Amino acid sequence: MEVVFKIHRFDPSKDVSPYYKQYKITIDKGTTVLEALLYIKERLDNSLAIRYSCRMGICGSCGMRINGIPMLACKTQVSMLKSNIILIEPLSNNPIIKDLVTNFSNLFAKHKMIKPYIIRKDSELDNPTREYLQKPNEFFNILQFALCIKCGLCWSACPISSDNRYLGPFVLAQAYRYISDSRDDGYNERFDIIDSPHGCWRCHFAGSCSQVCPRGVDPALAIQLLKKSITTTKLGLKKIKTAAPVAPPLTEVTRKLDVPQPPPRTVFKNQRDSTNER
Amino acid sequence: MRESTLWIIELVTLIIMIITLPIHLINFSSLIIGPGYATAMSYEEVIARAKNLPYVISSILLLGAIIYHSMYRVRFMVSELPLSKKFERLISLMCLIVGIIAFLYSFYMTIVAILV
Repeated sequence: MEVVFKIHRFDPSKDVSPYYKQYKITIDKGTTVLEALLYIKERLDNSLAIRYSCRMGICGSCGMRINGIPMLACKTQVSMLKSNIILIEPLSNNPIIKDLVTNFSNLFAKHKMIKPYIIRKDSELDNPTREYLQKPNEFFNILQFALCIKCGLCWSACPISSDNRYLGPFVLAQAYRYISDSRDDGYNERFDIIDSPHGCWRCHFAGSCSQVCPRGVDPALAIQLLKKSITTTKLGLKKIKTAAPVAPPLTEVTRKLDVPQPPPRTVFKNQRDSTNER
Repeated sequence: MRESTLWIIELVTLIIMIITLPIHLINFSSLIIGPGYATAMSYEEVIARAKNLPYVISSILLLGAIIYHSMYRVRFMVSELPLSKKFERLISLMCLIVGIIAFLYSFYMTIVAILV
């Protein structure tokens, strides 16, 4: 199947304005857009700039607009697009470094502002002794939002992200992920930035971020939950949670009489692990 | 004022609008489809309705809620423009002043209608 790739080209050091260059290639069934772009780069035009890494939808590096929709190039098969002309453009709302590569520094700076890590008032993080106690339902509350790979597709799809100071879907989703984490104690530390004029209240709930998310994170839901959480806390309808406690020390473990002793060790320290291929 | 406080006030104004807007509309629609349509829009009838205290209170609440809602949303839209922080504050201040003036004016007109 012959497909024409119409690719956005722009080198800020040379070009005055962006332009589109066409490449005609033959693709097989199952060829992904990233594979096609790498074919173009290797065989037709080595000046094409692309960012990619894992090629399996985990790293989130190869985000780009494919036929106008933000997608991961490695997860998108050309045959899925049902078109013989494929328009490839860089993610919008970010400055272009070159061709399809955009600059994420502003986005990551905002991500850093919301402190995307567990915050504790006790010294357990600095001097860990035991694990935190987290119930399965508490874990499942954050699991969906913890799947974010920071690919920036939601930021590109968001109609409000043209406001460069807006925190954006993935940053707010991550803020909710940490605020709702039962182990976290940093609600007050994150509150000022989330509750700022360009924080979660700017979201119009267009929902395009959730539509394009390749991991099903649903940032729009996270932002609404964030708004709900702040409103109910402010109205006194919800208490600020206390962080999950550290697991108590284990009490003495005694072997049950009917449980047999383990067999003697067969692998010892410094011994090559050739017997462990099970 | 914090953004969350402004948001909560907007939620309150939305509740007020949900309650008072139907009162306002029903009042007028009943006039249009009711038997008193011919005389309903006469000056005397309008003034008589304006002196009905529950209706006056609901109108004032509706006015306040609509003005707050509109000014908050204007500020909301303007804040998405690439403006400096200083200019953004100026816009917020202008929205506040315009909102207060609009409310005071509409409040004054409602009171004048009662006193006529």
